[in-house]
Amino acid sequence: MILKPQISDVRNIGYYLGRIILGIGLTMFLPFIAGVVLFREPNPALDFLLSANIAIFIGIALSWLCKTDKELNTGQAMVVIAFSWLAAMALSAIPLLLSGHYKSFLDACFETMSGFTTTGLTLVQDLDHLSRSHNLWRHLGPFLGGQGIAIIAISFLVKGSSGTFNLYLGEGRDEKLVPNVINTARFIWAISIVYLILGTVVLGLAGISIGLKPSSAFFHGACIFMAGFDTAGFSPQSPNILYYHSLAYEIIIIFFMVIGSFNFNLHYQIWRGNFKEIWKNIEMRTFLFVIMIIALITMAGLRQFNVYPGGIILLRKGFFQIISGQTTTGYMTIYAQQFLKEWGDLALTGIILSMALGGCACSTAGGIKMLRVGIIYQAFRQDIKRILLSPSAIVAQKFHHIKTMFIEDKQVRAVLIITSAYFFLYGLGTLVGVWLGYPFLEALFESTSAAGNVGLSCGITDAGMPAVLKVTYIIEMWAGRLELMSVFALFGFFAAILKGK
Amino acid sequence: MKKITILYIAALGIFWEAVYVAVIIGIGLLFVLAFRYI
Repeated sequence: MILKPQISDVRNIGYYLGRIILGIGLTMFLPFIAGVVLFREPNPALDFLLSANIAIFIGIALSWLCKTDKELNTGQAMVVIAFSWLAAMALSAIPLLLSGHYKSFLDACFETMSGFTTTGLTLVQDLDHLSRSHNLWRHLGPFLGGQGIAIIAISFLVKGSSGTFNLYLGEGRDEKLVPNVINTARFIWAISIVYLILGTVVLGLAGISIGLKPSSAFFHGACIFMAGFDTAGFSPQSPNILYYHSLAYEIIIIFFMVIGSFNFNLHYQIWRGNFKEIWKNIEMRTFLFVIMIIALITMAGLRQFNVYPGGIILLRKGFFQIISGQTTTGYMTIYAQQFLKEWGDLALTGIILSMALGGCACSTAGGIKMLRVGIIYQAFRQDIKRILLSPSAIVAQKFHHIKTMFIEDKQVRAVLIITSAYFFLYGLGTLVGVWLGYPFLEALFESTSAAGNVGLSCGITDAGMPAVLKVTYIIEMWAGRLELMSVFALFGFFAAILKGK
Repeated sequence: MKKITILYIAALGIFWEAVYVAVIIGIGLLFVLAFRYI
């Protein structure tokens, strides 16, 4: 029997949602201050002052109206998370809409959902003339959403308790780095900030070396780092990474894309001196293996049509896109139409596969995740051994992820449920795309890119695409980032309101 | 642990992460060479 939610449940959800919305409002002061002090753009900066005030007012009002001391249970936390990502999308879209670079509020919402979920698909118009404040906000979205919107609230705005751990779980993270969830959240920020400084300096210097003005080079460096490390793929210029025409710049970006797709728990282990973990971990081994398979498929496809005749060009155009897809970043060194007109079906299939499988669990990357792929592979090995050995033999299959563990049926079941849900999501977007008249492979490519939070595009994503497809991709990006469970919990919450007793 | 030791170990951690990325780029170069010249 489904129980109807009580008023105390709604108050609990409303209180924590209010705190998270308050956090989102406070972050809007960053582009406001940068706009006034650094970029000398008072008019665009005002868009953020207005939007921040709206978000802060809603956040404070909701927290005040629903004030409670009760802890969040797991189900409530998942509903809070699912709602808070929708609230973040809508409120963050206000300054982008005010910029005048979006055709509609839906387009601005698409952009912010794409940013927060670290996808990187974009509907912006005339990006090259967008103000720096608005561009900074586009790139801050992935930086905040990649770490997790709840992580902001956990770090600064809510008390440490079992309820906050449930919020952390709701964002598709199930690994605590340290026993205390607040310290876990703070360590995630520490890693991100250290790499932000390093990335901005290195990319800034690389930008100066290719002829950008120092102020521009460091602004581009910060933006490219935020969208690269957080595997989003936004860029301050419309040609994306093609704009820089630099091998060195591309290699630095590959470094940050790969590092960004690492499990935060792995960063924690390595940064504490457990260096061997990087070679022993099931995710890192699976990542290397999958990269080899994808490179084999994609490069065989490119070779078939002799798309890139030179070695270096094959590395810069072919291999870069493979890493971009595998890490679910979505940075491009080719134009979207080239995927369709030059690459051929086999190479395109390789990239779709890389986008579907994705990066590491508990990272900023999307997709099914390497940990799940690794566990499924180990479960296969276990079953094959069971068939080959005597029926009375006890077959135990081990894998190493931070510590050595045995494969359990319960674990394999959970992995297969999430994996199937991802395939359902990829299929859903493909069906809508095909229904709207797009060819199957193109629809599959774009749908996998949206649900896997990748951002590579073969040209479907455009301000002129049907609104139904925009909404479908928004849902895919949202559900893909939250690994579907929080979304299911939200649907369950509404079902309980309607049908509960 | 002293702060300088923590920083030293973290820097070594970043170094090993960079080595892993270098291995991935190495794999890419190997495939590029294989597909160009074999």
